[in-house]
Amino acid sequence: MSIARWLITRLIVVIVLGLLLVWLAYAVILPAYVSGQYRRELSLDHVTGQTGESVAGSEDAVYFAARYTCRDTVTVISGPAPDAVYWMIGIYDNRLMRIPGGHLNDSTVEIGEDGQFRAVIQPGPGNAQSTLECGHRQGGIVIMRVFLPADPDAVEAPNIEQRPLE
Amino acid sequence: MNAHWRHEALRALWQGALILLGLLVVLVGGYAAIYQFSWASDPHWIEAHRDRFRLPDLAENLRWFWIHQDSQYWVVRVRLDRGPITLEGQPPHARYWSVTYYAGEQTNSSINNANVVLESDDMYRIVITADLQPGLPNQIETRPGETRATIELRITIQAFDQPVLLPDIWQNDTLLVEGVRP
Repeated sequence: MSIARWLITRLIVVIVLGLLLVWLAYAVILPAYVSGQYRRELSLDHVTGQTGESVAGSEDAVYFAARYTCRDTVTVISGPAPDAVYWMIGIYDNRLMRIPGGHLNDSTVEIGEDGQFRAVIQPGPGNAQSTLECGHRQGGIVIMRVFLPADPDAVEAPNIEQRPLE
Repeated sequence: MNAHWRHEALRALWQGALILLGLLVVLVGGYAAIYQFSWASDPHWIEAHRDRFRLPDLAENLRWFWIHQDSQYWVVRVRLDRGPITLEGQPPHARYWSVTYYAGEQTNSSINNANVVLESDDMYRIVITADLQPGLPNQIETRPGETRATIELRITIQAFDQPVLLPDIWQNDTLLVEGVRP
């Protein structure tokens, strides 16, 4: 076999296998790893609260996190609007990337007269003031960040519940 | 003939796989080595996540997954074993901002817009040091023995008509990173 033919055939194999490996890492391994990590730490039916001192955040913030499922499921998050300089709720996919259309903050979320907010994670669009659209994704992580709360100890964890998509 | 081509194809497959493995070891290992050994050799602010596919910043951006759209994240890698780090700058016009020193997941100390003490020229000077000076404001204590760190400037809900003014970074009277002044 000529050297050129040897090189070309091996180069083709390298490219094909390389692309396959990249796809595998991005589409299968990374989501599986992330899901596996957070399946141990986070729940589907209640939020886990942590201060910024114990997670990769900031000590002047309070964080709440939970897992959510997007397939045929609606996840409702509700609770009192925190008294803080800034707070937000955002959803991330199984690669921990933020999802377009999956972000609400204290200026955009609808807050009732009773001071309660209610946000819904669902596959399709809905009320812009209360919907976090997860699209075709399987699931991921939802995070609520509260920056500079007036009283960090008084920040209440939101409720989270799931129901089948009608 | 079929057996011959099958044999050739299999040989191309395993040899190609071996070459790929070797390339991965060299590239990934080389990148990791360069990232570690060149830590803070050319300190500069990078906007985390925005330029996520720039190769020199890739390792940094891989650690910043939790980005959300209301905030800008500016990060810089520094060495702590060459003296205290001082950030000098003008406070951002934003709902919330903070300077955080990251040393892993155990300690994430911050100076923010609520607890910062501004000087007479309305500038802030934040010192990141292992030896806290009693009575001085705006100090962040590093963990003992820590030789390197990532400093993050987080700016949330920036005023749309005001530019982001990144601070200067000093170490031992040497300007490490030149920021932006008004």
